[in-house]
Parts: sequence; structure tokens; C-alpha cells
Amino acid sequence: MLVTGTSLSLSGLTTVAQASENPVAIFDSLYTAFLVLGTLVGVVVIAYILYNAWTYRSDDSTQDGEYDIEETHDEESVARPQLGEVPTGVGKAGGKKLFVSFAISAIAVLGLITFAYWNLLLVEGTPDDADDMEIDVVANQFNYTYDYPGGENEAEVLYVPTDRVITLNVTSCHSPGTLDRGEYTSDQIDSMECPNVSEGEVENVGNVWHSWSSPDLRASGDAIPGQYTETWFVADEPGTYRVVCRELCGSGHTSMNVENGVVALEDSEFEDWCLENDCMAEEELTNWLDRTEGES
Amino acid sequence: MSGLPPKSSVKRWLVTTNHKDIGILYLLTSLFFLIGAGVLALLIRVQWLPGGSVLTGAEYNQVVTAHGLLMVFWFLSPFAFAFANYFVPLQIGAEDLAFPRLNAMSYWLYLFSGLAMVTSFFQGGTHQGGWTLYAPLNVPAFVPRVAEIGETTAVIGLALFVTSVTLGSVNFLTTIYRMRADGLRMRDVPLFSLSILLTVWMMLFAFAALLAASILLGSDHLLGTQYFLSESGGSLLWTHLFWFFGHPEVYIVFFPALGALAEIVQTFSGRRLVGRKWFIIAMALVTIQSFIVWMHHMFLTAINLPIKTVFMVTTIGISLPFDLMVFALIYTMIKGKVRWTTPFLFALGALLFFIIGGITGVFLGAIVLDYQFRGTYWVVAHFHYVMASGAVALIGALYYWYPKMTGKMYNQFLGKAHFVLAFIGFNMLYFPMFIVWETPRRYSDYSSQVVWEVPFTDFAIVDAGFTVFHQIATVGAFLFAASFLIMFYNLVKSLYSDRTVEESPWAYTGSAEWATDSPPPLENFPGKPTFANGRLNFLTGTEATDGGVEVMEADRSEPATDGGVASQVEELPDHSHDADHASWWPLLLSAGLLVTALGLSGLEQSYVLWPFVLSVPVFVAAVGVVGARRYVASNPEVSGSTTTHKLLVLGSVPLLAGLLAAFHAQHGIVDGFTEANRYFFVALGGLVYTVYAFVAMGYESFEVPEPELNEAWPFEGVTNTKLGMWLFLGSDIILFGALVGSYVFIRFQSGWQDWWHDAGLPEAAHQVLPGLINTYLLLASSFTVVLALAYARRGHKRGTMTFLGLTFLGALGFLANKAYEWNEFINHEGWTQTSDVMGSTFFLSTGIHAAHVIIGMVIVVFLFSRASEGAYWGEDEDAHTIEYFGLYWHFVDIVWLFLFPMFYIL
Repeated sequence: MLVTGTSLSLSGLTTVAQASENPVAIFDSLYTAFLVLGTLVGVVVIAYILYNAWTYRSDDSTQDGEYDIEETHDEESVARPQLGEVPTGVGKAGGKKLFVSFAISAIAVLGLITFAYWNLLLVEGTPDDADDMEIDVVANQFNYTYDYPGGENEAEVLYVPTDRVITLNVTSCHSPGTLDRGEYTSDQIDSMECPNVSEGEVENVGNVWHSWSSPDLRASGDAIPGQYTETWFVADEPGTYRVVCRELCGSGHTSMNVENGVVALEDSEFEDWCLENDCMAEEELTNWLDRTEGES
Repeated sequence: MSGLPPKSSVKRWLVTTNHKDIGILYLLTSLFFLIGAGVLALLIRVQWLPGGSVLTGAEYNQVVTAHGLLMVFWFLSPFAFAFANYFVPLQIGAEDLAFPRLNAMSYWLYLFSGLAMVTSFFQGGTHQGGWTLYAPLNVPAFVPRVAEIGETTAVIGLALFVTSVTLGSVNFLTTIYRMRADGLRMRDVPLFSLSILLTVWMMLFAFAALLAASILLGSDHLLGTQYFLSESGGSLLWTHLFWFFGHPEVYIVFFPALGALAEIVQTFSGRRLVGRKWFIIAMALVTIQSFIVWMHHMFLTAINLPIKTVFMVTTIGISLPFDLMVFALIYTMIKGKVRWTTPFLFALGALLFFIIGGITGVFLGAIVLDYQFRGTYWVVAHFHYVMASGAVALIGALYYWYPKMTGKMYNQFLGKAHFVLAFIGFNMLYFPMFIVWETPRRYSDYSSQVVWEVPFTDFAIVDAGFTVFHQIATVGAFLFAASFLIMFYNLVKSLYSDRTVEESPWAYTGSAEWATDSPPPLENFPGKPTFANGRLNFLTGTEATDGGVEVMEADRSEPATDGGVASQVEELPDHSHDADHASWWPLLLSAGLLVTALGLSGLEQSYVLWPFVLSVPVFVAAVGVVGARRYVASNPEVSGSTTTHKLLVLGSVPLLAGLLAAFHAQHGIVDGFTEANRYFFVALGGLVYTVYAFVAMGYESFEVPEPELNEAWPFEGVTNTKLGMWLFLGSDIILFGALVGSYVFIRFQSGWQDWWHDAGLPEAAHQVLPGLINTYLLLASSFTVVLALAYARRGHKRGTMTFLGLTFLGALGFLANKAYEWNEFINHEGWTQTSDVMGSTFFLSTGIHAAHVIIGMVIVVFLFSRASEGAYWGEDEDAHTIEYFGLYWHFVDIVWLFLFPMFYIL
């Protein structure tokens, strides 16, 4: 079991090393390694439990008028519980086996930790040489808006070019305002983009906790009032990707499930969209697209 | 009041303080909440039936939230504590828990907190943000107005539940440490009781953090503070507080099940547990480690990489002690005589569930995977496997101990049928969720939902495939639910069967509960249990003519060892006839608290404190009246009440008048009462009654013999009450730690230095002097308590009463000074708890400390009255109560020594 487990981890390592620097590939290799190892361990341990429980089943028959077999304490080698004894263990019996199994699982667990940590370093922060585009994601009840580096305009859908590293800074909507108990009806709160502003003492009230996630792109970040969470992704193919909210954020939580939440476009199309929506200065955009051509 | 009515009488179950009765009450109540939370779970599944959608988004969220809260808090833990109540004293050879009335109160508070939670549904809706109550969705600003009262009730219900748990933890810790049978060392305590010991240690500290969190949240709701609305880390603060409690809670829920598993596997394998010592060490390790894994619930927040890494290592690493325990259980079966009885089947099922839940949990520990698993059905399936493993093991425990509790055996075939259906149903319910794990959690509608990607292929099923797996899960849910109908039928029917059992229906049982009748008699054992000569023996004392006690030994253990009867003869104290087992006050006091809680939920901000304030004079008068009545009744030679009693009753009138004048200043006496909503009167009535019940319970004569002839390592040197007080203060340290920690956290997040500049309080008004004066006053009052104790020990009445009085005056000076300071802040500077987060932390932290001071003063009034009757200093009296109060009072002082620099100097 140990040998198989380790070799699997190793093959997982090589997969990761060969994978392009893309969270999807990193996730897939790690998930596969865990899944194979986990299934193996699970199957072996469960089978072993059932094997023991079955092999050592008692074939003594239940005594007449009783509900269980008769106790026997004749064998010297097996320590059987006796009523009224000071509860002790079995002494040294089984201790060695216990420690060997423990050592095996300790090695497996340490291996997993190392492997998982190595992968963590890959997704934590964009690749070192990445020339990425940074976009702010602002979560509201119950939608997301995207602030591009150049523009004034906020987009409701995340448009990105393919094959580029895109970094997201995820946060929750905040605006100055005051909210007193019972000031709003539920309908009003449901329809609010941000908590409304009224005269008062409280400043900097945030929206609630959301969690932005695009499952297909394997990018996720919690949207927390007053905090920024960073995540990044690369869209390999042009197309649309789903965006979901993964933290219960109110009665409209379910509706924060947008089928076309991310739209990945070919360079020229993205350029058109970007210039039309003022997402970046024109010169900067052209330079960036040229510079990062074929990088990922 | 010592007579306990027969079990057929309803009254018995209302007044009982006996641990076995309370165990039964816990069992029935927790099963009641299981049904309630189970029905909610089925509602979730019905919602997704084709053409389902029976609930709106907001209703669905309430169902999800209440299902989680009820299952975790009001079913799982209390279900485990049903067995803990019943079997811990039996396993360790004690007659009852250390504080029987407190135990009854734990139960009633548990029941009533659950009823408050259920009531919240009918007050416009309960909480809608999931059982984790993430901030700021949990504060009034984001709660629909119609649901605000229900939301507050849920929070207060949670706080009541925590109170119940804290009382219970103190009780069980004291019992297990101080009341073991002679010769039963700590390491020899049976595994179930040991698992309870470790559970209550975790409870004592973890639930204190939840208490702090629910106090802050309740204050955000009722008093308008802004802890969780604050953008300076308010949201993160909640997650830290909640998960500091929440992760140990996982083990709190699971440990009793683990202990039960060990007992069941041992018995039905007919073999002692392999590696028992290592099993215990592993459990102890998890107990400690459980407090340093909580941030793995927050991997997707902006926590930095080194911290995340540490928490990843502790999280994945915590699987190691569990590996050892699982292997120990497996190896125990080898060379065993394994009988596939109902309890064993459930233990086996629990073990399999735990392995699946554990392995999938390791996935979540790997941060990269967690980033994608967060908020998906992977998490749902994972923790349901773990939680259900606990639940299933405890159902196994129910089948294991049912014959002991009832004296009847259930139908074995139906028991096994229950297992088969539950096992298949559960796996059908949750295993498919691993396959369609990409489903986002807590969505009320999945009609346009994600895909299932078949691993290792390019093949993917859209929508339809997803639906199929969830439909299998729905069928599984109904099968799982149905299996419990079999259990209820079987267990109820069997009560009336003729399948009686003697002491132990099972072969190879070991622990002491199997050596007594089924069900055990009120005093538990045929004699005083002892392990002094290496086996369980019962010492029976019979009254001899010379007034001494003769000791006989009855060896009930089987098989007989050497047949010889030990000739050990010693003084055997027999207190069993003077122990009390019945009291109305735990029920009545808890009921008062329920009414108060329901009243508080609907109070307007300006009314919140008044019920508390106005019940103070009632307390003073009640101490006078009840004290005098009790004094006259128990001392036939005295002609009437003492001067102190009269003074208290008379003094309560001007006190009430003064407080009403203060009420008048804020609201106007007529307008205040006429404009108050009805919740105000409910809260006021509830509190007045609670205060009276508290006094009456304090004055009730309730005899609990201090244990003798028993094993009390490592606390031989202290009494039960003193140990209990130490443990309670231990949890109080965490409460204040969490309060101070919250302040530090928010202040740190908003830039430490700018704090007071940003506050709405002018720099000039923020002075050190009032705090300094209060520091001196409190320290002085600590010295006077010490002096009161010293005089009481010398039997000096006037000294005792003078110094108790001076302590009271010191505290009064503290409060007067604080009132002056607060009046400046609130009425002259306009700076209140709602002004800004600085105000919130200042007023709430020092306010809760002030509440501790007031509680101390209330106790001093009581002590003063008792001292006037001759308690503490008189002959045949001891000064312990003053000593224990002193511990509390010094603790309150020490807390101030932290608050003073935090809020006045820094």
C-alpha cells in the first residue's frame, strides 16, 4: 500500500511539473492524485475491516434465554474483557502492528502535505514572470461588477482575452452609509446593489460576504467587505464560463449563478470590446496584448 | 425536598436531579429535535424534486440554517450527553454527578433554548445565513425587517444553549476528576467516560468563544453595536470567533461517539482494545490540536501564505491520531469473537462512514483543492459522512445500552433491519454528492446547473446527469428517514415486551455499569463501588448497634476470582439516605430565562437594559423575604427575621424608586411604560421571576454529600465546588479573552494608532483618571473579601459582615464612578455604543465587565443576608462559600487590570 501510494504521488508530481502554468491543470493533477490515493486507501482499509469482522466472527450459538454467547476465558493468548476488571488494554499484543500501520500512514500523510504544499506555491500568486491584467471584482447582493484597470465603466460580465494571465482582486461592495434596525424591508434589501446611504453616524458599511468562483477556470476568491482576495486564471479557449457565488449571501444567493459570467475572446475581439468599454488605454492595451502573445 | 416521586408520575420528570432520569430526558428531547431537524432535511430534498420548488429563497435559507443548527446543537451533542449523563457516573462508580441541581438546569436550559430556536420560526422567520451565521449577513442591516425578532431569538437561544453546555462541562469535569471509585485511576476510566472527559474540556473552552460571539452578535442586534458590520475586519472577526469554536465542535460532536465505538467494538469483538494507552494519547492529542486548525475554514480569505501553510499542516496532520484510533479498533477484532449484533453493525457502519468522511476531509485540507471545494457539495458530503458517523455510532450506543436503561431487550431482527436500511439510505443520499460535487451549496434551485465531468475522460454530462444523482440522493434521504421509523417502533414496542434482561445481556462487557441491575437503582450500585484490590467490589455498610458501620464486601463481578472475601473493614460513611434528588427550581429558573429570552428578542434599543435594572430591587427584596422565611423555618428557637432581612426588604423600596426615577429621566415614567411594546413586559416579568427563582434556589436546602472514599487525583486537595469554580473561571477567561481579542483584532485592522482619533469622542474627554480610580476601588474590594474570609474563619460575625459590606461599597463606588463617566460620554459628548466601532468595543467590553461586577454585588447581598443568619462564621459552619466568591471576585479584578490599559492607556 505504501509503495503504491508513494509512486502515485511521484507520478502526480511529474504531471504537475509538466503542466502549463494554469490553475486548471494544477487542480486536475492534484485532485487526480488525491482521488486515486484516497480511493485506494479507502478501499483497502474498508476491505480489511470487513475481512476481519467476517473472519473472526463467532460461530458460538447464543445461549438459551440469553441474548449473547457464553463468555469463555480459557485462551491464554487473547485478553478478553471481564466484568468488573480495571479496564486495561491488551498489554503489548498488537502494539507493534499498530505502530507499523501508524508509521505507514504518517509517511503517507507527510507525503501528501509536501505534495499539497508544492502545488500551493504554484497557485498562490501568479507565475513569477507573468505580465498579467489586474481586474477588481466587486460583489453585491446579488451580482458582480468588474473594474478594469483603465476605465471608468464597470462591466457586469468579465470579458477577458484568451491565453493571458488574468489576476482578480475580489472584494465585497462597500459604500458609506447608515443602516438602522428595521430600516429596510426585505424586498428593498433584496434589490439593493449596495446598502443604501442615508444621513447618519455609521461610515463604511460593506455589503455581505460572497465568494466569487468560476468552476471551469478553477479560480475562486472570497468577497469580504473591507478585504481583497487575490486569485488568477488563464482561459485557454474562447467561450463562456460559469460564475457562481459560493457563500450564502441572502435570499438571492441562488441567482448569483451566471452561466455566461466570464467571456473569453480572441485578441481582436477583446480589443474591440475593451476599446469600446474603455477597459484600458488603447496604447497600453495593444502593447500588453503584443507583449503577452503566446506567453501562456 | 428529597422525596422523588415514582417514574410513572409526571412530577418525577419535572423535579428530578438524578443523572439517570436526566439522561433519559436528554435522550427523548434530542430525538425530538432529530425528528424536527430531519423533517427540515427532507424539505431540502423535496425542494429539488422535479417540479418541486416548494420554498422561496428566503424560506429555503431558513430551512437550511435551522436544519444545521438543530442537528449540530440540539440533536448530536445532547444525544451524546444523554449517554454521558446516564453512564459516566455508572462507569466511574459515582452515585450522581457532582452538582445534581446544576445538571437538571443544564437539561432544562437545553430544552428551552431549543424551544426558543423553534419559536424563532414563528417570529417572522429564523436566521437565514446558514448555521455558520457569517457576518455581516447576520446583523440587522442585512436582515429583512420582518425577520429581525426571530433572528434575535435564534441568537439568544444559542446563547442559552451555550450556558447549558458550560454548566454541563463544569459538572462533568468535576465529577470525573473528583468522584471516581476508589482505586480507579484516571487512566483506568472506561473509554466512553474518558471520551466525555476530553469532550467537556473542549466544550469548556470552545463554547466560551461561541458565547462571546453570540453576546457580540446579540449586542449588535439589541444594543446597536457594530462589531460585525465594521469594515475593519468585522466579517473576518466573526469567522475567527465562530471557527475557533466551530472546529473543536466537530470533535466535541464526534468524541463521545468515538468512545462509544471503542466500548462497542471491544465488547462485541470479545477482546480488550488493542493499544488502549495509545488510543487515549491520540484522543488527548486531538483535543489539543483541535484548537489550532480553525483557519482551514478560511483558506479563501486573505490570510497570508505562511499562516495558511501552518493550518494546512495541522489540519492534514490531525488525521494521524485518528488513523491510529481506527487501526486500534480494527486490530481489536483480530482473534476476537465478533458477534454481528445490532450495536456492532452500527459501530461497523460508523467506522466505514468515518473512514470515507476522514479521507475526503484530507482532500479539503489541501489548500489548492479547498479553493475549489469551498461552498460545494464536496463539503456537504464530507461533513455529513463525519457527522453521521458520529450519529450512527451513537445510535449503536443506544442499541448497546438500551437494555441497561430499560431492563428490556429490543427485537434484534428489527434492529438489524434498521441498520441495513439506514446504511443503504445514507450512502445513497451522500455518496452521489461526491460525484456531482461541483453543485454549489445552499442553492435553492438547480434547474440550470453545472455539469458532471467524468474523471479521466473528456466525457461530461450536462444538467440531466447532475439531476439524476441528486434524485438518487433524494430517494436515499427518504429511505434513511424511514429507517428511523423502524427504530422508534422497535424501541417503544420493546418497552412493553417480556424480554427482560438481568445485569448484562452482552458477553464480554467490562465496565461497572454492567455489574448492577437493569435499570440501575436510584443509588446505582448494591454498595459502594471500589477497585481498591484490583477488581470491582461493592462495600455494603450496615448499621451496627454501637453506631459504627460494619463493612461487608459483596463480590458481584463475574467470574469469581479467588472466591475469597477480603476482610477489609473500615469506616464506611453512608450518606445515601440524606442525599436530595428532587428540586423544582432548575425547571422554574430555566423557564424564567426562556420567558426573558423571548421578551428580550423584541425589545427596542432604549429598553434593552431596563428589565435587568428594574429586577435588581426585586432581587434585594427577595433575598430579605425568602431569607427571613427560611431562617425562621429552620431555626425554631428564633423569634423572627434578622435586622439585615428587614433592612433588605425596606431598602429595596427606595432602590426601586431611584431606578424608576432613572427610567423616568430616559423615557418619562408614564410614557415609558405606555409606549413600551409588549415584549418589554414579557422580558420584565420573566426577569423578575427569574431573579426570584434564583434566590429561592440559592436558599433551598439541597444535600449533596461531598464524595468520600474515592479517587480524586489530581484534585484531592480541593472540594467539588472549588474545582467547579476554577473550571467556570477558566471558561470565563476565554470569554473575556475573546472580547479583548475582538477589540484588538478590529483595532489592529483599522490601524492601531489612529483608533481614538477616529472615534467620535473628543480627545480631551478620553481620560485615564476614571479608569485609574476604578482600578484602585476594585483592588481594595478584593482585599476586603480576603478580610471577610479571615474573620469568618475566626467565627467573628461583625468582622465578616463589615468586610462583606465594604466589598459591596467598593463595587458600588466602582459602578458610581463608571456611571458618571458613561454619563459624560453618552449625554454630554454624544458618544455611545452605536456611534462607531470604538464606542462599540469600549461600551460592550467594559459593560460586560460591569455586569460581572453587578453579579458579584448581587452575590454579596446574598452572602450578607446569609451571614446575618449565622452562616459562614457560626459554629458548624464553614467559610467556603466566601472563599469561592472571593475567587470569582479576584478574577473580575484581574480582568479589569487588562481592560484598564487596553481602553484607557493604549
